[in-house]
Amino acid sequence: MKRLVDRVWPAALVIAAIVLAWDAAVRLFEIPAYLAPSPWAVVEVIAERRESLVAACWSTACTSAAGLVIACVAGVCAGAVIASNTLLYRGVYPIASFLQTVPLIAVAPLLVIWLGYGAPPTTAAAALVAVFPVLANTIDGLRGVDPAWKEVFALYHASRWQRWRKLEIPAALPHIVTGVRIATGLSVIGSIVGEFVSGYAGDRAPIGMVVMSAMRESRTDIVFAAIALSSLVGLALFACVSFVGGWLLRGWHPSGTA
Amino acid sequence: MVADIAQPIERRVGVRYESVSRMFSAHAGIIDATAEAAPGECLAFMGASGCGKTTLMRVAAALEVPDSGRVVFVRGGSEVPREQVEIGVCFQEPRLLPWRNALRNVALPLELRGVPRAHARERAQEALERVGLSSWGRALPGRLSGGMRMRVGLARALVNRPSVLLLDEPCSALDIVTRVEIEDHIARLQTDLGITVILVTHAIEEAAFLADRVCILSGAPASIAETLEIGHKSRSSNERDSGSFTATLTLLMQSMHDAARRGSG
Repeated sequence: MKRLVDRVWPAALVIAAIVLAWDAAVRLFEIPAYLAPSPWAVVEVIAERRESLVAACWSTACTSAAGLVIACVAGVCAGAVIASNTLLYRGVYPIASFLQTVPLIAVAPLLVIWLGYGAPPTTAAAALVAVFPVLANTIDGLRGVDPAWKEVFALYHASRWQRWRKLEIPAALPHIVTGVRIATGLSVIGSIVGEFVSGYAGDRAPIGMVVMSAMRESRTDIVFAAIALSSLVGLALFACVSFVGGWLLRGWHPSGTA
Repeated sequence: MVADIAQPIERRVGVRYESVSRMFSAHAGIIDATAEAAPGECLAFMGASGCGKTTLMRVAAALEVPDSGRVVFVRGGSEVPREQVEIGVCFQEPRLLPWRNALRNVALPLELRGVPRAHARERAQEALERVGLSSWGRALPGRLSGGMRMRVGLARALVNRPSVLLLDEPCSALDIVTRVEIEDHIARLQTDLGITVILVTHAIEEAAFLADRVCILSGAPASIAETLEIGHKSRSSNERDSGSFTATLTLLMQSMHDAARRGSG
């Protein structure tokens, strides 16, 4: 418990300082609420609309998590295939690198055309934006296995499958975990961008739609509340991924839990 | 325990280097190396750092293909294909997989051969006992000291009950106490199990204590400048205190100096 407190208090202190500075700035410069509401107004609106905001968070969290899972499975599988063959690596990897520079906001309407409105295109948007770091890190991890370990496996006549399962995948795991950690934040961004284009209003509207409708009504306090909550969604997903990653690397890699 | 892994005399394997050359550039590599370790003997290669000692070990392990010449394994006077010879290799650095505990690292060669997991771990435990680490099987390599990691590497080299053990500077990174401890372990393995050992080292004490024959390399590219026969009364720790051991050290030191002089001249 003491360790947790020791870890959390510096960040809590910084957050408290930012909130106090924000409140002071709003009061001091008399900033109108439609431009920047006070932090207490944001807290109030969260309390007022907690049911719809929690539902929005849940909806976004579900599509982000689903997108992240798809990105992980696709990224690791495709990465393993690409890393296994130099010709494939030279042929496919530059194209994958190019595709990840295509802005998601430009692709999102296409996803709506192909998948309709609602969860499918937002999940696809989350997966699309999250897949590259997993793919790239998987490839780097698999291609960067220490040649000294490879020699040990060669010495004992390991088959391709044994080398892959007992050496390459475990050795690449720290890279893959890093890729998934980066992908976690991106999946939430992808999901919200997808919601801007394909979301739907109403009681179960996801965070992206809450932001869009609040913007149209000039309810900056709701926009701020949605931003804060979407960060919490990202943080929760990141904590889950970090926990699983730390468990997988525990004891043998610096980024694993002690 | 020793009896079930000891090599019967007729199963023991000798190693013969026949004019082995492996060049990396005009001045780097090994040229025309011919040497032999009879079954149960220890053949040591000595020389300055980077002269090509490790290359000779790697050629025997089939991790390096010679440009010319070959390494032959001999059992009962006739050649045996390398695939039929159990070889254990202990690298200069232990090369343990950090995500596997000591026991699973040692069991790896057996797992790769398809030995059932329970049996592989039983044998790995035996090998760990042999190097004095029976209670450290569950420890990850990161939790072990350098000397312990080296001994786990040695246990992994022994787990497949090799006829030939290739050791590449097994004690180079160790303190003197651990070094003596590991040398004693290797000497016991030789005496108890009759394993043929190819030792690569630049430590004169190590070669004097373990080797029956020492090949001194010199030149660029390196070749075998001199081969010295070492007579052992016993391979016990006490041998280090004997006068003959000191004489062997002096002889090796002198030969190394001569080789270095010839190499630079």
